[in-house]
Amino acid sequence: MTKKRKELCKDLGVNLLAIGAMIPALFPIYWLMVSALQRPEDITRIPQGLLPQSFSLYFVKKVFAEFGIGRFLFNSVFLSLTATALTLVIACLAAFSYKAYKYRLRESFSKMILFVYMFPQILIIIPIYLLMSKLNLINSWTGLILCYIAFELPICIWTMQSYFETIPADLIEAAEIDGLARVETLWHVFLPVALPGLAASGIMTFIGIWNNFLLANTLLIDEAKKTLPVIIADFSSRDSMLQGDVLAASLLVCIPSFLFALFAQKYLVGGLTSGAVKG
Amino acid sequence: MKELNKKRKNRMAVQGMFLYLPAILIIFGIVIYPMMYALVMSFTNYSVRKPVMDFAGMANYVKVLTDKSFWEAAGRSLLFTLGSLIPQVTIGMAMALLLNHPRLRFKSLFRGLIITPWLVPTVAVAMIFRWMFHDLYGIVNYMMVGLHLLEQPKAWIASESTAMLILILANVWRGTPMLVTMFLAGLQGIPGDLYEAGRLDGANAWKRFAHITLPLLMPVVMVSGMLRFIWTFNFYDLPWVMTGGGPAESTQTTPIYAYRRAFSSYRMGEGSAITIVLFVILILFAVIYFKLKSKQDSIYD
Repeated sequence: MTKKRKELCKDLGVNLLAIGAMIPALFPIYWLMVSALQRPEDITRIPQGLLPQSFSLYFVKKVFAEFGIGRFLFNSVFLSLTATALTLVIACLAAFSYKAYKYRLRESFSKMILFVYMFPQILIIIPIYLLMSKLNLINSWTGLILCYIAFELPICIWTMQSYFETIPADLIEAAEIDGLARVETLWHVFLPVALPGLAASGIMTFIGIWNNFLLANTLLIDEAKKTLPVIIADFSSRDSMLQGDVLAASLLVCIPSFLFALFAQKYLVGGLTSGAVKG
Repeated sequence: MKELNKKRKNRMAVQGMFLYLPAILIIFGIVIYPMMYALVMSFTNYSVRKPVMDFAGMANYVKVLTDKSFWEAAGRSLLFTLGSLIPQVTIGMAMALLLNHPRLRFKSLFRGLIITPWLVPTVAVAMIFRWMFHDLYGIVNYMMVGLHLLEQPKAWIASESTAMLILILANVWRGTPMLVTMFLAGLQGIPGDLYEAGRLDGANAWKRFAHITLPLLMPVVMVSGMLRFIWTFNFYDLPWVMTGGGPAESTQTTPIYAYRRAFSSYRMGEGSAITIVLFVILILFAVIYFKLKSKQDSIYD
């Protein structure tokens, strides 16, 4: 009896500890939601309570109506989707080349990718700015997309490579005996097998680009072209913006990754563990 | 026949390289070439206002390396990095052990919840922490005054003595989940019979951790720790958005210093020289990283 009780206590202890450990991890997110989704008079109420005082979409509506955040939301969605699609195509080709072909430069290419992966963006932002101004690509989405692709490629290639790694050589040989050219196996053998990998790296790439601040903040000048993270940082330095407005905008910028976490958690975790993620 | 085979092999090699080409071209164009360009630039006194490449020798380097603010910024970067990494690794390890505990129920739920901080974009992290530590309406002040830990509300982010602390706190919060995930993957790779054997030998939980878990996880810790060191040292977004390097330069780390130097005064030669100096430091760490990684790979082989 006592032994059973001791076991029960231990079980309870571990589970309670885990629940306790979640509190600091989740509290800031909880607090963001509570604060952003309050009535304006409650956000600056003193003393504050830990529980929500009210629920209202006042600030969310306000950032759309008064500060036109829809525009920046669209910019971010468009840029992230386009750059992610392009990155995936280029990364698939590269990972496929690495796995299915043998040539001399293969390892050097792979090393170069690893090197760029380690590279912090800040170390290259000054020369990139100079290059882009020479090419007249400052303030242009084309230039920005090129940069996004370059910085997301390494991790994307890596993830795809690790998924391609799982494809048995027999399968490729069998396909070639059936009359497929080597190039065709990418479409008919590799991609169908690595579809979960494609989803995982697509999600990681999208999140990486969506969150990017430095490149967009440096290369874009016109306000109408800016992305959501850049405009939020901008908002917070304006006197006319209230705390509630900034927080509502901050809540909006979290939405895509939260959606992925809710509806595609399997791929998200797959992407997280298959290659080390930056930051 | 042999001739034909060789021809085919050559053709395949060209095909393979061709498929890799788009990736290499973009990376070369956007990363490698600009880097070389910066190297050249760092020996000139090019500025946006006077766009001519006059050879300036080592002048830019001398200027950077004798600038007191540069060394102060480097010191702050080091403080920010170690201050973030040490808690991240310890808390991350403890969390991973907890979430891998055989007695824990709903493991996948907990593992899903723990990554949520990582899902919050850096800009939003900055805004959340600025709001939580707000001097008038911040929840932290409210709670600390309520619990009599503080006599009166404190301007955490606006005072030189605490700004760095809050910055580090925010970074620990957003960075730890990634490490938990990595450690969990490492822990799951350790065969269970090792622990069984340890238990039979009479090793208690602490001994099992010190003699089985830790040595087996060490390679993962070292490799991911090294990369994190490089990235945290050069982390620009969070300090820039959260404190902007202030108040009074108290959170001005090297990335902020470099960016300010290059873009607010548009002295690109000097900015390039800072980039190159940081790059050399990075190379040093990268060499250590590759050494550790090859050691890790040889363990797993």
